[in-house]
Amino acid sequence: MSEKEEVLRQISEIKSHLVDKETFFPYNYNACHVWSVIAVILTLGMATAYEYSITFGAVAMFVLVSIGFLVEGSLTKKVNESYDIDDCTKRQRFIMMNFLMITLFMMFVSIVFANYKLYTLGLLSWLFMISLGYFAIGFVLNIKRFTKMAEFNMVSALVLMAVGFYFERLVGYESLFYTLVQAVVIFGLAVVPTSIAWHQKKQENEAGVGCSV
Amino acid sequence: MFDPLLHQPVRSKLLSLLITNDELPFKALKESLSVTDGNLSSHLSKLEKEEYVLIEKTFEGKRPKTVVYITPKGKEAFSKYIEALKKFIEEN
Repeated sequence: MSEKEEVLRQISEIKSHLVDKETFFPYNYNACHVWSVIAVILTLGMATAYEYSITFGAVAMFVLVSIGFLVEGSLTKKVNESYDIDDCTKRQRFIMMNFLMITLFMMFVSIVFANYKLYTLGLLSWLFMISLGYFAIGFVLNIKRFTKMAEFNMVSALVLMAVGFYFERLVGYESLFYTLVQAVVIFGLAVVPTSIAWHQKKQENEAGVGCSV
Repeated sequence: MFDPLLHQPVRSKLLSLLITNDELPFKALKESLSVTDGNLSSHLSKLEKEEYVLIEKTFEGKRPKTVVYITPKGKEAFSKYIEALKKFIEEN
């Protein structure tokens, strides 16, 4: 290799390392698995809880969501400690705030829907809004798998809303349509995110970028 | 012609990371550069000896914590090194 080629290679390597630490500091994808479990519990139990009483349903949802954020917070703290990072990174903060705002909004919307027994519409709204959150994350952090999943989920939610509205199946929770919606929500908000999180974790570990514990 | 301390792949990449971030934990540097603990320590010692970096070792509870900072001298040396690389490309 000539000296010029050597210098050009050196410049290229320097350029590739002029990166902000935010790009290689970690996100703990295990949090996705925790959220998947919560999504399954909420999808299967939300209507029953709200049927018992609106207050009980709202409290149950609040408790589950709080557990999710607490677990995510502790997992993030753990992975940050392993990197000697005291504060959370912009990337982690963005993901957390994004879901926090959406979740608070959806908890309020769910109470309104539960008052009118619009459980199917409630589930589909969760599917749409949480997918919107995943879309934002996928778009901003350039995780194409999340973007694609979110697009699929949002289209599914809109199609099912239209079908439910047309056949008047948005009220109640004892129809076959409600069971179908539950299956779609579990697939979209639990099965697929878990699978993507597993792939992301594997990919980042293989590339030596970031770390998930 | 080139600063011999910086004209070495690992050390130039190390300074590139520090110039963008001012300070980085040892583990983050190690993973970004794909080097071993010993290898990184050896390069850091050379840079520290010339006062290009400052290494701070502390304890958080019982856990050791090592953070590497770039010094003003290190920033100036890196800047001069980049200028030297540019000049070489222009002249050749």
